[in-house]
Amino acid sequence: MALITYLTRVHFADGILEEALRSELEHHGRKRPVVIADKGDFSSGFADRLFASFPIRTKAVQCEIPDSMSSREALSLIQKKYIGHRADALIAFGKGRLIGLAQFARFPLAELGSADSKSADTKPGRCKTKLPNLFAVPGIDGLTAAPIVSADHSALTNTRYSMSERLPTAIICDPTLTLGADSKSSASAGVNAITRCIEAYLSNAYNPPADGIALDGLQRSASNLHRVLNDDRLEVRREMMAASLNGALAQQKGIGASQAMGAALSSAARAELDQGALLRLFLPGVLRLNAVPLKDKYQPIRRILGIKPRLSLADGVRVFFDRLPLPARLSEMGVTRKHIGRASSMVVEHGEPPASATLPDRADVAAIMHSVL
Amino acid sequence: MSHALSVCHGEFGRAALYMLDRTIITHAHREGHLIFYLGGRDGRVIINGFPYACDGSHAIAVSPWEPHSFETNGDGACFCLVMYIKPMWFLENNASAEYALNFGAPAVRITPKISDCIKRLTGLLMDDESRDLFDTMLFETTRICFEHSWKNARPLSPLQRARCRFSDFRVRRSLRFMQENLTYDVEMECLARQVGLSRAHFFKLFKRQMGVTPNIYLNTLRSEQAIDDLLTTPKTVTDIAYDLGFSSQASFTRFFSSNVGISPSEYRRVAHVS
Repeated sequence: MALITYLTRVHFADGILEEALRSELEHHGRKRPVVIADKGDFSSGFADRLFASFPIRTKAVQCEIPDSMSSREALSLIQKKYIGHRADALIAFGKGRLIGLAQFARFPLAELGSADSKSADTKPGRCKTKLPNLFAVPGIDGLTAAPIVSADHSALTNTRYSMSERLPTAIICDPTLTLGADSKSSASAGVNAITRCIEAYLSNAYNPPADGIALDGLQRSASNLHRVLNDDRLEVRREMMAASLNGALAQQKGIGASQAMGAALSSAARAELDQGALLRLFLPGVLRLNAVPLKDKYQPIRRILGIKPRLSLADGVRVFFDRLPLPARLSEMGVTRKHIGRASSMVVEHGEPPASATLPDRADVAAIMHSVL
Repeated sequence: MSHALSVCHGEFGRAALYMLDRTIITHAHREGHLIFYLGGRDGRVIINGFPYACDGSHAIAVSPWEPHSFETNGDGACFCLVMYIKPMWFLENNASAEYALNFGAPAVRITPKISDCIKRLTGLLMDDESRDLFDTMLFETTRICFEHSWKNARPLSPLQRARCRFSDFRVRRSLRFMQENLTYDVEMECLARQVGLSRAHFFKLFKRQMGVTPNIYLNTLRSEQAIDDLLTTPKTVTDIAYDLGFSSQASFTRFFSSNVGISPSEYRRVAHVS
């Protein structure tokens, strides 16, 4: 038996940002949003487009989250801004991490009763408390935020909210926002999308529509990941954004082991490590761990990635990611053995259990991380 | 003096029955715009510099942000039904439509089906009843006109459209500046300087990317705010004028009448929200 909830509103078109955001705010009657982004995005043309799209008499307040700010501090800042501004919605744009934080920030706000009942989300689910509206406008790294699985936020991960309830009220995907992104960011976003799609597809949960979304996302990202590094055409960017969206939507099957490991290592190192770079290194190890129980499910992935018969899926994925302009070892990102020790405990003891066929234990996680140190 | 017999606002945008005997100067809307001639003196709509007859044979379709003006042919009033349709509302109801609600051609031949829709919409607007039926009819009319407008038109590449629009950071910055400062007296000279361009270069770039001049864009924002104020606040017309940066009620009334078609006080008297 399965309960499948579909899902949230998505606007997806070239140049859709202005029209979509304006119509969502008007439709929900929202006039006092807190806008969450990092410093770079607030001073970019992205922000100019976003702020120019507001309906008249919108009083927005900015909530700037620096890269160096911990998730705990960032959540607290969002909450403070929201209450102080008597806000009625959240808008998160740009970095996937910040969109992810905004998703989590909704829970304590709902508990505090800050969301008025008029227009907050009332998605069907287990939770009776209404979440504030969240409008997400992803940039180059899409909706590829690392799950918050650190010890700091274990309480949050045990909320009563299902994966589908955590999704934003509306997601606005405008591929024109990703034009001109550098090859490193593009590669990282592509790896993130591929990993999400693969891990969602391999998850034990029974959810055929999510499997279809994941395989479609994998197809799109596999066909375009290497192209997008040197090809800034809108059609290529659009395919990559679609893949990223698919990965995020398929995520309702649960968070994969590689993603849990990536988030835990970031938390252990107390640094915002590039999740795409981490996933590129972890995914082959996780696939090797599940090679026997998931043998049959590996076939469609092999076909889509064009992996030669003599290679295992794990090796094929490693080769597929090989030439990407991302760090080849964890040590290049400043990760140490001490960080790995802490991170392997976190994956097992805190946060959501990864939705893998074989749940990695502490030794498995440490072994995978050490193999790419 | 032009008059309105009925103005209706809703989720779809707005619709109105106008008796127009005065010129409406070049202006633009963010909505898709349809004009249907109902009777009286013929009119002309000039879209992007090209004239289109507003008579019983064709409806006029104006895409979002297309500059256009209206004038009557000689004395007397032109009785017409005008609709301003929000692109997203249209999209919500019609999965195959594109979000921008760009029409393929400005003149849409009136078919018996469209003629029937116009009559029913006019009746519903006059009676001010059956809101659900009105929305359904309005959607159907828009859908038919939209499809007809593309019958012999060559589709534009959405890629090209998205690329040319919003691609220059100075234009983007100016859009935001106008949005955030529309209640002040925004000087174009100053705005051009603000984004690092000469006035002439700024106007040329803005027009190329947005399809309208910065003046028309700003006028659209001010008209929108004025309409919203008239509809949703108890503010007097004088207060609305001052709040929008006009020096007097008279100058605001002149602005409003020449951009919207009727005076602000009449708009408030006639308009209602469904």
